Amino acid sequence: MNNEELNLPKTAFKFDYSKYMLIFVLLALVIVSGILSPSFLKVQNILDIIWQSSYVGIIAVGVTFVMIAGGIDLSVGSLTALLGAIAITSINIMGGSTLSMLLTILITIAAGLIMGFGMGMLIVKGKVAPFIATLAGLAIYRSLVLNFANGGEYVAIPSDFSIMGMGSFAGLPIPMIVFIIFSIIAQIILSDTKFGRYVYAVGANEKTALYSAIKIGKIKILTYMISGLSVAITAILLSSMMSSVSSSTTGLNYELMALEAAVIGGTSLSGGKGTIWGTFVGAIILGVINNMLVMLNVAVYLQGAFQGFIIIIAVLLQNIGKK
Amino acid sequence: MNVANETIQSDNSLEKTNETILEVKDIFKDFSGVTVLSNVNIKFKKGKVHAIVGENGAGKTTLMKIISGFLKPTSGYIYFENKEVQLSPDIAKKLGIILIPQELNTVDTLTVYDNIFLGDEKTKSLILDKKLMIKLAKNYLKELKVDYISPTSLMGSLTPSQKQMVEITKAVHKNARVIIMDEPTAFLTEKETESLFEVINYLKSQNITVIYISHKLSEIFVISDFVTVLRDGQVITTGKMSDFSEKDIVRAMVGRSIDQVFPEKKQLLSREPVLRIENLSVKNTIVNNVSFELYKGEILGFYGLIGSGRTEVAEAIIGLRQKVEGKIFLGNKLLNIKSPLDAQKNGIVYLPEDRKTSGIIETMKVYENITLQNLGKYTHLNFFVNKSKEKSTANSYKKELNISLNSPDQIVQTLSGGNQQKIVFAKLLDVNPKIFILDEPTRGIDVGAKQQIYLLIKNIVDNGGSCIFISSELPEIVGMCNRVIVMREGEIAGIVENSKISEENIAYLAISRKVA
Repeated sequence: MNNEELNLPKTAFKFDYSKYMLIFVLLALVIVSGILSPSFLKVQNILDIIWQSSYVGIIAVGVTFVMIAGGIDLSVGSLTALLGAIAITSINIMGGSTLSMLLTILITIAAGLIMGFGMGMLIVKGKVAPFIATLAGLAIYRSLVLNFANGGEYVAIPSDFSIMGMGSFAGLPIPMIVFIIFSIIAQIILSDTKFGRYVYAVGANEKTALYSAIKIGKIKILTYMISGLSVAITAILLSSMMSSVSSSTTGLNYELMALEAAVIGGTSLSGGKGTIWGTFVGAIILGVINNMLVMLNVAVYLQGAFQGFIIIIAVLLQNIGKK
Repeated sequence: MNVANETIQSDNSLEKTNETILEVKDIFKDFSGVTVLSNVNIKFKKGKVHAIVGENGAGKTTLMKIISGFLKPTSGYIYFENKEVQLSPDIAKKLGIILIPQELNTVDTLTVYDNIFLGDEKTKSLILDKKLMIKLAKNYLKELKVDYISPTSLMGSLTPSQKQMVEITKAVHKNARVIIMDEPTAFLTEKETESLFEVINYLKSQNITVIYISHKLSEIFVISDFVTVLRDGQVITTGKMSDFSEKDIVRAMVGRSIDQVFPEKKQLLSREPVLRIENLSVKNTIVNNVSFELYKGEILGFYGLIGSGRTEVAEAIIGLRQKVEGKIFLGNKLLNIKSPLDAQKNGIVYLPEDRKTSGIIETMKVYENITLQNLGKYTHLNFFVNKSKEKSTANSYKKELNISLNSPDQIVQTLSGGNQQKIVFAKLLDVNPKIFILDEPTRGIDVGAKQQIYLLIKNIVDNGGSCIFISSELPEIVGMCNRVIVMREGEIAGIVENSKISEENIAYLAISRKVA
């Protein structure tokens, strides 16, 4: 027993580089961008970056719950378009009053929760692998929107609708405020509640969780509902900002970007590991890279390649931290 | 070399059929300082069936892995046809030494003939010659009189017995000289066992040696020519099967001195049943018609060989397996348990057999593991967790159970097996249950920690709890339990009480022939 105690400090008091690595990466990116393009560091540009990161960022926060519980959600991009279409249809039917806007928000969020619940049931009760079930969701949701819009766009008639996406509060864009508040609440739920603890337990070792009298099915379904909720929030903000939803491009590739943000932030694809603040920083790192590429006039077609490299570098850095 | 030649000649002159094909000499094997085999000497004769028997952990599997080249001995010699050989899996295969493991390594998504020719496919100018392979496979199966298996069936659609036959067929046609069968009847019915014996007799007629590892005495007396008994890594006795009685073998298997110290047994003053199981049969398992009672303050042992259905009974009680039939009573109350949560609500908790995959969450902190099963107790509004309360609970269990750790924030992975097991106990104790089902609670932990676990179990019953104590280790079953239920092939073979509790009585029930 004594040997054991002597061996312990090595692991117990090790400085956790991987925890702070993310901030270093973000700072390095900001400095490099500032040098390459002085206008990068303007307050308005920084605000724009966070604003633009918000849409994918909110979804990434939701997806982080699913991933920590050991699942994956590839349907979020298509679902953004579908829920956006629902929001616009709702506002067009009910008109631009405050009440109808509130109802629209409620309807869209309810739809997101229901879709998430359905997906969770399919995965838990139907025992369909999360990858397959959500891949099917990706195809089905997109196809439905395309069909309803006949390949075109949903356009919001009431002009007041854009207030949620375009408005600002105390000089800060509303989507950014929503992103920050949503992230803070999510982090508290994950680290300070019974549900959050169960999410980690189910993802880290489902069998032990099962033997420990945890209702693992319920926990998994709830994570997909949180994912659905996050998609609904983004769908409202995005359709409001644009006053329209394109059946072909809205939300396109969001599932990949959300996954990237989470993985850059240290969330494990095999479950049991991850934080919301990591995903938050991950989303902003993605935003900074995109902004930098635009400012440096890098061909639009190459931007995907840069994102790909960043995700690989992020994972490699985390692996080095492990050794 | 001269010596070897002489041996051959003398063997030849004695009796042609008594020729040695494989010999292990002075074999020692250590795993990081723990001796698993010491001074093992066995000669295997050509065309004979040689049984290796011993308790769980006696070293049988290690010895077979050495003979088939998957493990290197720490020291010692292996002779094949009187020539010294250094075995690797490849060399063993070339010599014709083939292991058929208990869990077969078949490719279930391919056909029978694909499996037979795996790694040795017949081709016609780069293209697989399926017609030829099907024809050959058919002939091979016919030779073994198992041509009821179609060469074109999917491997996954076969029964365990049929899969085994395919594996043996494959071995024979890879020029097998020695076939090692590890617990070959573990998943077979009586009838299938008989057809396995027919195949083994065919192998003998082809002058192939069979090394037959089994717990089941009834079988080895029927099929074996020679027997070797292993205990604690040593050869206790070896010789012709016909020279031994069933009692001799049992005594050789278990007759060891008990050097572990167990707490004094508490005598049961009254027999007040707290848990009663009636006619339990479990879906998709061999567990059939199991009935028993657990008394208040009792440690009830559950002994049985691997695969006898002990864990399945436990998992059915806590709602992880479906019952085909049977009732569970808590006192006089009929229970309808569908999940571990239902069991826990009724005061029944289970310590799983495999600590690493089912008992702990290695990557989580000590306090998170301890409070996992009863987290609601540490929340405000059943939602927000109070971590400082969790940590102080962890600290009090650290003292109470003598867990060696730096802080409750430590990751469980960094602890020793014994300390990890104490954390699982802490997790269960925190639920404050009345009935503990402990499945192999001392598996894989050192002797010192074992003793502490024994004390802990004693404490549970002293405080009014009751335990079902499942174990494969006879000494602890004998040392700890008030009564012992012995399981065999999914049924209760007998219940041993008080002064009758001895290693011999229990082992005899567990392995002796089924009385028809």
